[in-house]
Amino acid sequence: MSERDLLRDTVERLLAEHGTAERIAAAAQADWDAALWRALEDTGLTLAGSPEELGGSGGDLVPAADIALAAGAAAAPVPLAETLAAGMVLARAGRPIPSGPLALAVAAGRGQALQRVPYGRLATTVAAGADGTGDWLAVIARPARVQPGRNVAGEPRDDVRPGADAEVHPAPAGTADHARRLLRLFRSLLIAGAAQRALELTVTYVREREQFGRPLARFPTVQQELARMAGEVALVSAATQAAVAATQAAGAEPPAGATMSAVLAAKAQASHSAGIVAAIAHQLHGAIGTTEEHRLRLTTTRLWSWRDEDGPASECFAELGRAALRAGAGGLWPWLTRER
Amino acid sequence: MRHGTLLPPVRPLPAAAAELRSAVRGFLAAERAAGRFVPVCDAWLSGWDESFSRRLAARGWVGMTIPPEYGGQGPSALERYVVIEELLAAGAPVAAHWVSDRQVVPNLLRYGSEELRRRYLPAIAQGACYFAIGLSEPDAGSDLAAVRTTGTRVDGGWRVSGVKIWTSGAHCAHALIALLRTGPRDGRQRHVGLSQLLIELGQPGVTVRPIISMTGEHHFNEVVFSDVFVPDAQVVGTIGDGWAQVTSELAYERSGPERLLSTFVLLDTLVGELASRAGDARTQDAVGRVVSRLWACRQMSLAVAGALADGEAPEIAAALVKDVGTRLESEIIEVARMLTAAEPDPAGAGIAGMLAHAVLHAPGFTLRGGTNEILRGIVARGLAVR
Repeated sequence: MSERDLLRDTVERLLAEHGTAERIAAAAQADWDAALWRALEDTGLTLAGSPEELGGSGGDLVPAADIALAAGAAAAPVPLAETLAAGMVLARAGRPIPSGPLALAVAAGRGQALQRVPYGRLATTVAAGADGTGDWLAVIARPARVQPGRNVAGEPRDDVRPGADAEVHPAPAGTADHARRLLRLFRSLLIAGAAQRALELTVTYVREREQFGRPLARFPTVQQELARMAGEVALVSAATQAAVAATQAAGAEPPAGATMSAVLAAKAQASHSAGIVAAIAHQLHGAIGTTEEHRLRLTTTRLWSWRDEDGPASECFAELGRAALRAGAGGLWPWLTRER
Repeated sequence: MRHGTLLPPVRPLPAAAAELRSAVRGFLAAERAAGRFVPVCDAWLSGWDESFSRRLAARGWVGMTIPPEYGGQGPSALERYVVIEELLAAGAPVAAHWVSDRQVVPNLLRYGSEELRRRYLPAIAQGACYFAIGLSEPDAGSDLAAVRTTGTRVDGGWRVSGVKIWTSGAHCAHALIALLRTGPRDGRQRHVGLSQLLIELGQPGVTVRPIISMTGEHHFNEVVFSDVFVPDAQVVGTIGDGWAQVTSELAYERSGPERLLSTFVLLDTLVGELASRAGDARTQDAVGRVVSRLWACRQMSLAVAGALADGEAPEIAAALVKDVGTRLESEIIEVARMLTAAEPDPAGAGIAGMLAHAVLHAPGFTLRGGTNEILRGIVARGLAVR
């Protein structure tokens, strides 16, 4: 077994052990699953992709991406992907990484309130920004003043106002852009994981559920919809894998002015496909899938939330559309086939 | 089902790809500048230009996977991918050598006898030998195993009778790669008794009748075989193994860039025409939608190409590429319509003319190479629901 497979197995097993539907539902009441978080932190999974000398557990983007994918699939009620992304942004700036859960946000300006920060109430929020003086990072230690809120999956999404004591550090050029990219990339990975899980749940259901004396899976119309769903899941998988590869290839310093269209396209595709995947999953599950008791909703409510977080489809489509129109006739193909 | 089970891992293109890509672009720019071709949609069906095929071959870009002993460059499936996606994106006339390059080369390299390889591969690598595909029949469309064209054993070969249909380019091609029945069905086992033969088209007993498309163009044909003698040497692989041989090639046929780029030149022209509206939100949104999907489809197609190059047979993923890619090809037409309000005009220039061509070709996108409904059935089977 390769090292990569070993890591994936470890994280999947850990998430599965803690990931009973009861635990996930209970976590929504208690804001998060603290026991799961401790287990992840003890295993060093929360800071993969960041160097050890800054407090991370080493490795690069690839293991961090694998962990985020697994977190999305498991509907894990902890800010795992958020912490991984925030750790990588701090590490790029050479900042030490605080222990405990982290959240990452891009700030409109210094001292400005940050809207709908994932797990803002219990995480240390890392805010990235850029202004006339250059890029900067603010580390807002918990507990910050927060206006609590949630997304439709029940995950905390809190408005965070930095206190006077928040540390603000100058950061290397491109820090804010890098943060925006990683937010989009990790959100896409969460969606990719959840989309895959929605497909698995649906395959299992249509094989077990019988109507008219045979499993739903025997009906050609059901098969056609299932395949359409698989097509969307595969698109998101391909797009996110390619975006991880492109980000990895670009390293910490992508070329100046590069839009990183790979990440943009991956988030656009993930956001768009999320809705199609969730809709087909529910249609094939029938009424039972819409209940609080059924596990499907843990995945679909996340798909409906995540598609509009960290770069909604409308924003990504517009940015991509602008870039494609700028590329123009004869320029579109070279732009599409750039390696990043 | 681990993430990625549906789709092989996305692999990077070989290091030589970038240089090759730029060489192909240079060649295509020179060809266009010299007025040797005009970009059209769906050129891999409609752009038959034998001199173009030969010029391309002179640069080593036809039959690229043919090893040097048969007159080619050596195995480089991903480099071939780069070349053909460049050609398709440019709307270049690749129809003449298309089937030879995509279908016949891998088929002969896998199953063909030494004699067949020596007969056909060098000519294919020179861009001078064109094939048509003989799969469909009047009563065997999606249900391919229902083929009734029959080869009867005779001294030294097979006597072939029957009808093949939708054979693109058969009126210009040199030979046809056919699936036919050489033995009886074994009860309910419909896939036994089928074989693959290469049949030369310019011989007595072969009649090629045109089937004119609704565009008015002549691409398709009906090919009738009346007691045509085909020598044993023209049998590909093993008599009776035709079904396995044909289905093993389908991943090549279904996952290539031609399943997403048939209308790319329309999109390219569209972004050019809309340059002045780059700030318009509705335009950005509509263009962004198809561009992100095209980008993702290409990554899927590349993932399958990488797996094929590594000797895997990703049948499910290949079927998925064709389903999502061909639907995107039609979606591009819709976006062009909505954003330009151009009326499709067969005699028109620019978008209007391209739309007229593309609209009439579009129904074929989701039919050829296995209808999308059949492909989705394959995917469902892959997900273990049947």
